[in-house]
Amino acid sequence: MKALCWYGKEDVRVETVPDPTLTNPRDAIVKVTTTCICGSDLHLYNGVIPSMEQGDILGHEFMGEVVEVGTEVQNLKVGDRVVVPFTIACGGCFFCQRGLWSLCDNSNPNAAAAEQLYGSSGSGLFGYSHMFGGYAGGQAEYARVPFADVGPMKVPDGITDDQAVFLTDIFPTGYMAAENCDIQQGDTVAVWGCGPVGQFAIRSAFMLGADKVIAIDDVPERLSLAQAGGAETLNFRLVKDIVGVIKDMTGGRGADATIEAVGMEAHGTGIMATVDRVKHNLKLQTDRPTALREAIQACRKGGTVSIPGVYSGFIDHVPFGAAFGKGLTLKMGQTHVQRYLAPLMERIVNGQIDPSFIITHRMSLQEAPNGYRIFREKQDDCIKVVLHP
Amino acid sequence: MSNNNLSSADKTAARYYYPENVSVKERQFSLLVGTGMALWGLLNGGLKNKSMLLPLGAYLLKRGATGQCAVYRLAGRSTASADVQSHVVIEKSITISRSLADTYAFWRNIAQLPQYLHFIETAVPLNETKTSWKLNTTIPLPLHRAWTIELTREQAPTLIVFHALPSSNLELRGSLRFSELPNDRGTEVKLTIAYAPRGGDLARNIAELNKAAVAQGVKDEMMRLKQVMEAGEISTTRGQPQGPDMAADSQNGVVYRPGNGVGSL
Repeated sequence: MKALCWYGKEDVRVETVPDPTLTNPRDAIVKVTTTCICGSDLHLYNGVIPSMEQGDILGHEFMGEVVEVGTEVQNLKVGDRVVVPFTIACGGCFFCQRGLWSLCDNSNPNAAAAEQLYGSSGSGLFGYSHMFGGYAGGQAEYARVPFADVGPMKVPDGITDDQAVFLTDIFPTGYMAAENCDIQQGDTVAVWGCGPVGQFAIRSAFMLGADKVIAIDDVPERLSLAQAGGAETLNFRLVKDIVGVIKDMTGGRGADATIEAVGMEAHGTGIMATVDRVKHNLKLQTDRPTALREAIQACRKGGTVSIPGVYSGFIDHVPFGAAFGKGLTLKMGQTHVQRYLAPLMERIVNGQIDPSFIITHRMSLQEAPNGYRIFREKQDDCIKVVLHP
Repeated sequence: MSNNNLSSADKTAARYYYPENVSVKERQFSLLVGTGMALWGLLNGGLKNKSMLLPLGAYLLKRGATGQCAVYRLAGRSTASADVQSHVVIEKSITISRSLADTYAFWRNIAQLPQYLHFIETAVPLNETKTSWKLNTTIPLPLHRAWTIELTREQAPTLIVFHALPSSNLELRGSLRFSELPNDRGTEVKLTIAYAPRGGDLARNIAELNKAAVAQGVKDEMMRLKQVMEAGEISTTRGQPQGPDMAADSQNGVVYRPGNGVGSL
């Protein structure tokens, strides 16, 4: 089959590789009909995630048709159309049983490596480095899906791939980010980063009762899309004092909750952003927390900072004193995708949201390397690339 | 080990016995630097050019391997831990999301365990308390392949105590403790093993230096059993597709590498 493989920084290629096979009794093989390039794939593309190997197949947002099932998979049959969560989870451990699917104890075959870095390992992830399991991803014609009896969800007739595919990651990720804010009627939520996760966070915040959403980015088309979703927008290239402006917009209080949907490769402006970039390039810190600092400073006393943006290592000069002094709640982590599949599918079926609003580019798998490039460079007003193998 | 069955190596060791006076960290450093110096000395003329590298390297190697340093001894100095133990002790515990009764029954059923383990190929019960074990031949440790493990005490469902019979080249004893957690939080399994190679100080010292790797291996084995109990299978990426390895590609054509299993990153 054809698959998109990683070969190093800014080097991804479509290669011919063997087809995946059933390995464990709870596996299924899915013929991929739609897959996407995620913002977090750009961290891999930029070479900032450790433990990648040449030839690794990327892609953790994919859906398709079941073509083979293992002996223990009773709930799926050949021909079913399914969306596949990017988090791989066994369903039987302490964490899965409590709905903390992305913290599954048993799905990362390389848990020891993650334990050395983090103390404990989270779940395995598709196509996201060997530290997170080294599973071959879904930017391919076929993918092996472990624990297929608890992960994938069947897609109802009448729902298109374009509407369903974002349930694999970014819709639940944006939704969980908003849910983590514990939004009360009348709340103002500020969202850093208007990429796909930020866009879903904005719309989810409104669905969960937010009165006002303030969205921060510097890419005009992303800001327009945020505006279309109902947000008031701030361009951080034009507005230098983001924290001050947010306080002005909230009667001096600060946002009731802030969502940091940027992560470890924040751009930002100002002295600290430059210091971050220099330190990052010198490998003195692994992650650049520019957006996180602002999200802490701009949050009101007793508010919540919700962090769906990906961090992998160490960060400097995080205003922890501010977080403590204001009694903030910090919530973060990989999305427990399995928890959100059914309720969010229901919102799609009810017509409350059509996630396909995010798509700006459609390509064949063969064109994926170009898709990575234009997505990274934000060329051609690119917000979300969807691939059809 | 009792005194009347000392091996000849032990007797030799006893004759030249000095207490260890070098810490584990220093010994690892000595081994590393000693190897480097000795190799460098050998590759650059060996003994011919009267370089001090070769003898110095050899001295560091001995210092690392035995934990004894003559210079420290003459200077009356020691960095070795005061309570040097005769055995290497490893303790690992994991939590399994199953009842105490289920967990105990699964771990007590010794004959079925090897199908899930990397290091042990078969475990055949000989009688109520004795089991004959065959280790996997791929283990990178100088161990006998065949072992007899005897259960010396059993308190179902909370405790199993065992040891290896003397036919093995490793003196080993250990225990498994099972305790139920409150509110359906599963069962804690704690494995303690203490071992010392039969074969004198040198072998024991090497065992001490390998401790971290062995401890990780033990933890990985326990994780496999946890996965079988909780998920019904062991997660793996073995045999999955991967793009051609460019380095291998240039020499031998397309080579597909195997994926990783538990602990084989």
